[in-house]
Amino acid sequence: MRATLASAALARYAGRFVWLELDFDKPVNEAFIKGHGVTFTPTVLVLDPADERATAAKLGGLTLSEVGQFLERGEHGVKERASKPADAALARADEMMGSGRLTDAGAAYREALRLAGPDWPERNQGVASLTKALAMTRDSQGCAETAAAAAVTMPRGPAFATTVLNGYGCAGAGGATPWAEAARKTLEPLAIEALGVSTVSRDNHFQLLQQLMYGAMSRGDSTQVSRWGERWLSEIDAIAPADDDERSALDIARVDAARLMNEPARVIPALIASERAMPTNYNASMRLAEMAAEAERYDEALEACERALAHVTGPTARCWILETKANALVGKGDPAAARKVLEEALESARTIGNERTRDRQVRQLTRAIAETGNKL
Amino acid sequence: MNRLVNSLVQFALLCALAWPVLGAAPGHPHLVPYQHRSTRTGDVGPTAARSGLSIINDDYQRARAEANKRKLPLFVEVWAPW
Repeated sequence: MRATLASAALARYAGRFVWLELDFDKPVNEAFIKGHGVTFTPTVLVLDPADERATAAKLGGLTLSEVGQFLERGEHGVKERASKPADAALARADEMMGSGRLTDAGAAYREALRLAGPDWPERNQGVASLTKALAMTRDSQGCAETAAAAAVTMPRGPAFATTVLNGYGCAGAGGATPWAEAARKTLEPLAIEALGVSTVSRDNHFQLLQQLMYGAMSRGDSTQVSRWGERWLSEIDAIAPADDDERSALDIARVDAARLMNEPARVIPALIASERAMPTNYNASMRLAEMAAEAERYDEALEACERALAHVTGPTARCWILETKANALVGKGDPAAARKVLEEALESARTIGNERTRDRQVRQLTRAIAETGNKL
Repeated sequence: MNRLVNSLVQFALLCALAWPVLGAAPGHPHLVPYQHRSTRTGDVGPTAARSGLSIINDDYQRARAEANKRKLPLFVEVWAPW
């Protein structure tokens, strides 16, 4: 999103909004994150500052063309209330999405689509938002079936790709159930088609590749997993990052692809290069540590963990680095040291601002400490 | 050995049925799909061209006060650094 916001094409909006970025992992932002029910990054909102009502809400990144439409909708919603029934329902849905009431938001998106005519300009984005709300509330069947029914006839653009991505991912979560298999049969070819749509955001493009890899893995098709992985890594390697944010994001994708291919060592040279390019960025060291640990190069992993810990900025990431460090220590055959590191991670986890993340991390670490203790 | 890095890849291979659910909260990079990471990628081309947006970081009250004072909508992006 930062690169999107830097685009000169958005200059005409500069004086029409106040612009705010909030780091999910900084305790200072917890009141906002809790108050607006944010559980997903990135979450993008337009708020009426008078009453903090969301007039546009999106869970996930936006392409440049989508940002323009999003801003226009949000600005319009601050100036005046929607009068047409479908638009009013959409406004309610966005308001609920922006306050974390995701089940209600899903119902309101459905209502908006029901009320709107077939040529409603917000229809495609409404379908995409509906599938996201259903995915977020774990209604995998509703999400997959909605996407499968709608995506076939949607124009091939960003909303189509988002809908397919959400639906295909939900179909994957459904395992071998008949509804999931039926949805995958419809959505997998559409996911492959979406890879060729040039207006789709890079994030969604990468996520489609990732979901296709998961799909192939679930069938035990290692050849296809490898093909998608090779394509993904090739695409990543072809991109020259414009700045550190982009370099970090590409490294995240690189690690994901390598992990799904079960070839962690393969991306270590690129991650070393990233760390050299961003010596004070903990993300670079953290990714290198993860891959080195998975490649069973434990000493390299431990050294990278120390470099990451020297620069980490938030408790959540600190927990993850310590978990990787503990993992490397277990790999080296030192469960006692690993347990101490996990206890340190647990202390850090207890300071995480976001309640859901904190509770999950504390549970996970408590279990890990107990299991590591059994190895002593 | 109890690997703490118990990736979903291994889980999916073992189960050969389902793959990770989309829509979880931000979580450990080992345990969540790509979707839940920061998406601060440069998906619109070079960032040399600047939009001129003046972005406030990590200060909601200041941003809201400024938006109220200037009678402007408030754009908010909640992002994750990982």
